[in-house]
Amino acid sequence: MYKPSYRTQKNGVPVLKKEEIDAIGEAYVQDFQPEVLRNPAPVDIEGFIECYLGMTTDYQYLSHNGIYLCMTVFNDTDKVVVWSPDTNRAEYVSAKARTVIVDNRLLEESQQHRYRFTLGHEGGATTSSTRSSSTTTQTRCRSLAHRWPP
Amino acid sequence: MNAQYQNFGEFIQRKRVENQIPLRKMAERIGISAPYLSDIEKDRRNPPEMDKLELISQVLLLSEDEKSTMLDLAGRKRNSVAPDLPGYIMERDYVSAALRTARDLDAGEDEWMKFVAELKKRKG
Repeated sequence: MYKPSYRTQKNGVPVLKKEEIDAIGEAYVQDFQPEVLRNPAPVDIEGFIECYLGMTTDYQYLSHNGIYLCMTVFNDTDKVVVWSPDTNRAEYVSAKARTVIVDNRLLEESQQHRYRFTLGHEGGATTSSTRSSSTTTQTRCRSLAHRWPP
Repeated sequence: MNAQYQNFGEFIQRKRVENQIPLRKMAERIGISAPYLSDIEKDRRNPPEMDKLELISQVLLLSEDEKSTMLDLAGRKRNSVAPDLPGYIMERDYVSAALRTARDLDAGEDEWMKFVAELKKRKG
């Protein structure tokens, strides 16, 4: 599997220019599904996340109003807060390290573009945070960061 | 017997990953929703019915032994016998009688294994 190299701050946060992020993204695609660079086609984003990066996917309602599209769990935990439509309140679920939890609303047919972008976003977050996540249990991504079209 | 798998969900997840099938694609192929399959894999919900278990077996290209393991784990999750067995038992009173006899006489694993080996020998 492709392993990017880049500078990091003392706390492990990567220091990357926009062009470097593009180059790393392209290198991942080259390694995972090179044919799409010659003949443009949709990247198999679920295959990239689950089979290439080895992450686990889960599907939950992350909020009552859809404000969170997804989250990545970095360390095993039984304290992931989700919303239960059955009880109309917040509940805990457990998740293992390297789990991407997608909001169920993104599974709707009209949300496929956001679903794909969101998975790609989480994959990017994971590949660039392996050295800075030892103390971070989970991160959530809000819908404003993923609105498409802009 | 299935010590290598903690539960039905873990079995399904490991076999799916071995076959490199993403969760949502697997759910589509067996005709259930991705959240439901995700819950099953994480041991939050019960296994699906027998028709879906047959489909899972086909999609995951399970051997006969692996299919038996899957069905045993499905039964255990439901706190019941493997879901392929009740029909067989209910249609044959002598099977129920044999099971009761074995239970009353406290038949052990060795005796059952000998019985199974004898059956296999006779049936080729």
